[in-house]
Amino acid sequence: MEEQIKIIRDILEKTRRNVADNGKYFIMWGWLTLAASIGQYGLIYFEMFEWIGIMWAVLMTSGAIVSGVIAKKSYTKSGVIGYADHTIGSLWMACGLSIFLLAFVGMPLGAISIQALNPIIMTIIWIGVFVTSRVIAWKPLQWSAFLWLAGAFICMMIHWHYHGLITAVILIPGYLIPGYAMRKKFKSSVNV
Amino acid sequence: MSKFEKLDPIIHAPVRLAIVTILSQVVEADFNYIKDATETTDGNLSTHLTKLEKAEFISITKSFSGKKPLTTCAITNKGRSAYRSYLRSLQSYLQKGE
Repeated sequence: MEEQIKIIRDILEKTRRNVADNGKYFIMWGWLTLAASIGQYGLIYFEMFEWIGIMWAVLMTSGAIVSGVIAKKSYTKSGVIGYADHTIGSLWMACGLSIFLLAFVGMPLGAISIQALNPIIMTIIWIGVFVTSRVIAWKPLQWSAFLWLAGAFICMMIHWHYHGLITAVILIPGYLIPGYAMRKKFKSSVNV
Repeated sequence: MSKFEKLDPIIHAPVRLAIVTILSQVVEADFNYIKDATETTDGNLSTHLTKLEKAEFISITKSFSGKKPLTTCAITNKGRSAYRSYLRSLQSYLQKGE
């Protein structure tokens, strides 16, 4: 009976060390969205409004494809899909599809105003970051999540021309810094 | 003499217990991951996986990753429930043994 207890204990210890490198997604999406947000402000500044939607569509579609490739490569390399990874992946897929529907269908149809779009997207990102922080049980990410909620509130107060700049500012502590910190945490856990 | 709950013989074998424990903790795992975690050989692992699949405790999916064959395993509802019963039985043995 001791042998069986030892097997269960050893396996649970091994599977617990399977922490996914979620940081790489935050870093990739962080830089991509930072480029798009600054690009949006630039296009508004030069009054090239018709390019805003196209730029976002190209960058976000590229991000979704790269995310899919990274996820597939990660699975092939590790050979395992944990429940936490599965939940986080499903959550961000739902967030991404919701944002896509609002930005690329709702807004062109006139159902969503351009002034309301960014606060709604930031609210969706807040849900994604907050739930991710709970699933991976990492408190610093929870504080980053609240910045998205604050960003959504700020964007409700100011003209949409400046929403790109607000997003760019929130992205650094709300996505990039936690992304690099998560990556560092992952690397140190792998080297244990 | 006190009555002990019967331990499921399919799960009780060390390698099969290790496999079911792994699969109870993840959505799915591939053959190589299970092989590394259980520290067993290809042939031995295949035999145990087949036994677990025949008992409908796990499902095995064979596909390709590029040109390489990929065997993926996941625990079934029947397997999860059998594993839980096994843990309960093991616990009862330990409590009665104290």
